[in-house]
Amino acid sequence: MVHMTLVPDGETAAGERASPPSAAAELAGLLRSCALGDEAAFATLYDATAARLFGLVLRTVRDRAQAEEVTQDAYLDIWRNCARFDADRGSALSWIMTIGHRKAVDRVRSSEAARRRDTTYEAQGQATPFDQTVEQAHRNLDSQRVHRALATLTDTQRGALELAYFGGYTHREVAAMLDLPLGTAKTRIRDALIRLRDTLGLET
Amino acid sequence: MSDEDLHGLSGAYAIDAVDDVERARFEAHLAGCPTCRDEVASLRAAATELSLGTLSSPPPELRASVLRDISSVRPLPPVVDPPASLDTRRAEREERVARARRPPLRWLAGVAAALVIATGGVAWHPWSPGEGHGSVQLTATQQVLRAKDAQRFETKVGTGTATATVVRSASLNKAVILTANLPAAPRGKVYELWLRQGDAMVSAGFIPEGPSNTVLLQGNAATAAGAGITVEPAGGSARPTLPPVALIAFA
Repeated sequence: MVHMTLVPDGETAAGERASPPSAAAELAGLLRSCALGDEAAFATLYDATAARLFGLVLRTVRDRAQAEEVTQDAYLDIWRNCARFDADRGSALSWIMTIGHRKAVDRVRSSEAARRRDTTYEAQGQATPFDQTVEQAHRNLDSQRVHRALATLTDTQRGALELAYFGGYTHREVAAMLDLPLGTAKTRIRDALIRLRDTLGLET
Repeated sequence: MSDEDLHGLSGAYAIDAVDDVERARFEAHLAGCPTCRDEVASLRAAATELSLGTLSSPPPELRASVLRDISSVRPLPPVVDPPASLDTRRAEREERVARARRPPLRWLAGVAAALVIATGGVAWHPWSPGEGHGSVQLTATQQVLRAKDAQRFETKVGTGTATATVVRSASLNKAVILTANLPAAPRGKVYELWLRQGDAMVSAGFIPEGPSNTVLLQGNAATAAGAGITVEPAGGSARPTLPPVALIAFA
């Protein structure tokens, strides 16, 4: 696991509230404390991850009120399942973000939310420009690293990854949206993630 | 879907870009494929890095709400391997799931009915001497399958080899669904059957566990314009969860 800062210095309220653990190992330790019912440990974990989780959920569900609901629901799930976290199967941060991402995706796929979102989506025009992500990503060194890794992807790989991960679309929907032959979107998504993983030097 | 195709789904699965049927299928594959498990974990780690580009602080009230939430919830215990045999654990799990189901009576009745139908009922044996022996009582399912006016409607389910065939007899007002190669429903979920009556989808029972089943649909199939299969939480839903796994028009 590479060293990374969970929350960038300054800028975010979460960063000011408490001194966040700077290594993934500390997050795993917090989860272990949570499993014993340590609510203070959970508060620390929340402060260290809230900007990451809420930001991702907001990006996907787009609507602020819904994003808050989904984030609250995700943290309850994280608390409930903290004893089930298995450090052999990935980092604590990855585990937390996976739960939040799944919740966000479930929300946008539920028909009511999808209808509301589609209105916004059309109003904003097709595909949120990736540059927006990239611009925000410039904010700190770690995200510059991610930005550089993203730049190594082909346009199709990046587009497919963007729609699937941030948009919450299935690979089939992505194929239709990007006019890709059936079955190729899932390959693009996988290729993109593998490239990203290898460029960032991530290991399981 | 071949194993090779399934390996290729690791990226889409890692970032939830799959539908419920694909997820169930891939998770069944994951259970026996350590290579894919490792790959999914590494791809999730890569995806996690993407969220560095979307940082956004939630409102302070959310922190208070979250901490209030958790104070009234006990974390689940870790998953431990009890000394009990696999079968005992499975039975216990099923008992727990059954208790959690609502409403239990409706569900259990549905399962019991479906099981009886799937096995052809206790009175009928496929190896019995056959028709013409007065003692053989045809089940409702067999009556539909052998009806003179039986119509067959076949559809693929998902992208793999799974198929569903509805056989409908208007004179009997009944329909039977036959499934083949159907992947297991996701954990905690079931396949629910529906009949389209006018503009409404009306629950028509459940498909029991297993890749191949023969199930009599509840409700009047003669007046129905079509049938559907959806994935629902255990116990079923009052209204179908979209998108459906399969839709079959009786036309």
